[in-house]
Amino acid sequence: MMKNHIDVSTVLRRAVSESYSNLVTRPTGVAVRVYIEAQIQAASDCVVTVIDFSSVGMMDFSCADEIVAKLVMQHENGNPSFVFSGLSESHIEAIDVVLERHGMSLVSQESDSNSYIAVTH
Amino acid sequence: MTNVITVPPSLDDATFEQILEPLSRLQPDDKVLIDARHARWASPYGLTALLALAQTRLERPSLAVPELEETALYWARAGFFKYASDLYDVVGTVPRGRQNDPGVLLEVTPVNASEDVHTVVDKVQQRAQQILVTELKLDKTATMRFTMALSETCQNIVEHAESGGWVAVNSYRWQKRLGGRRVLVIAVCDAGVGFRKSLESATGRPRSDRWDDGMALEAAVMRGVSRFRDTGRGQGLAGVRRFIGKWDGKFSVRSGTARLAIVPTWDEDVPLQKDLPAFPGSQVQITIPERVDR
Repeated sequence: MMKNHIDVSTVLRRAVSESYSNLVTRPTGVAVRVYIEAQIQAASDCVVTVIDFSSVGMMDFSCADEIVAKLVMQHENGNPSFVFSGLSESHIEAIDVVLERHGMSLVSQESDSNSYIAVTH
Repeated sequence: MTNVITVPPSLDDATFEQILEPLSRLQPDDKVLIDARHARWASPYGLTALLALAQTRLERPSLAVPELEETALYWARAGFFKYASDLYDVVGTVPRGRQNDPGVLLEVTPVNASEDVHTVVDKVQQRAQQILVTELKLDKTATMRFTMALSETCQNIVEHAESGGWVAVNSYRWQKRLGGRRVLVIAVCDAGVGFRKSLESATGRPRSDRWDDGMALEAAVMRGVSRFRDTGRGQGLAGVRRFIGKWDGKFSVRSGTARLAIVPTWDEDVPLQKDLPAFPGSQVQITIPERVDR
């Protein structure tokens, strides 16, 4: 199974600013999602895309909505499927709130020091 | 004629109403002197709201500096005069506040654009951990939630105010309330369009005859209603409200003529106040108290 691994922290620095380490503000979230979408398109033969948040500091509701919720909604046909990895407790909390708003829910699975989550409708 | 408005000795969100009451009777182009000579203390809300006040005046207002050196020095260290001198004709001696005050987690900072929110979050993150965990005895995850709350309240200015605003974060010990516990206070004030006008800008949203500032605050803060059609919008302040509850904190938002507060058991504020003196924009305050094991 072909996997596409996207490091969100690297995307943040490339798409928005070299000096940023936190996912805050809606414009930042939009810029990161657009960049991720381009990477997904470039690896269109990959069935699964792993979005890695392990080097991201904090993520606010606006970025959780723009990045996680909108990505899932735009690919609700499951092509590709997403695995969001390296999430902290506060990341999951923000994602939980925004998914609920869109009538979605998440299932989470702990794995060593990182939390891995998959999103489901 | 100059209209003199006296700043109360202790300036916070409650006593700021004593400034707004006489101010609301004046025309926007009336000359005003904000007399802070006898002020002894000001919360982050007091300082940021004073800056927002100046932005509402068509005629440049004057500000008389606190006479008590300790007070003036604290205001200087909190970064107040740095911006007050752009907005007010400052009367009196402004001390140089070179040294940082240990209680000032974030000095008065302008918020005009999304980049400013990044700057604010980056600045407070490190020191927030120390204050929240060591002084307020909250668990380590509180730091992330705290910066999220700060980010969302600042974004409220960028997304809805249609003007710039101000943020400040201080930690201090309450002398009389809560048995002398420490508190961390975030204040975010702007003199922009406010919640009611922001929501009214959404086309096709039906409004009842009772539509007013209070209803607009309830819609935005309690139900996450936004002027945007995107269902993902409007989660910021509603999300902040959840966090505050977990910390037994207090969250209040004033806009126009109304003020809504999420009131914890330790406070005696009222949940919704209407018919207050009109003041443009929105003024948000978050109070997080030191945790005590019961």
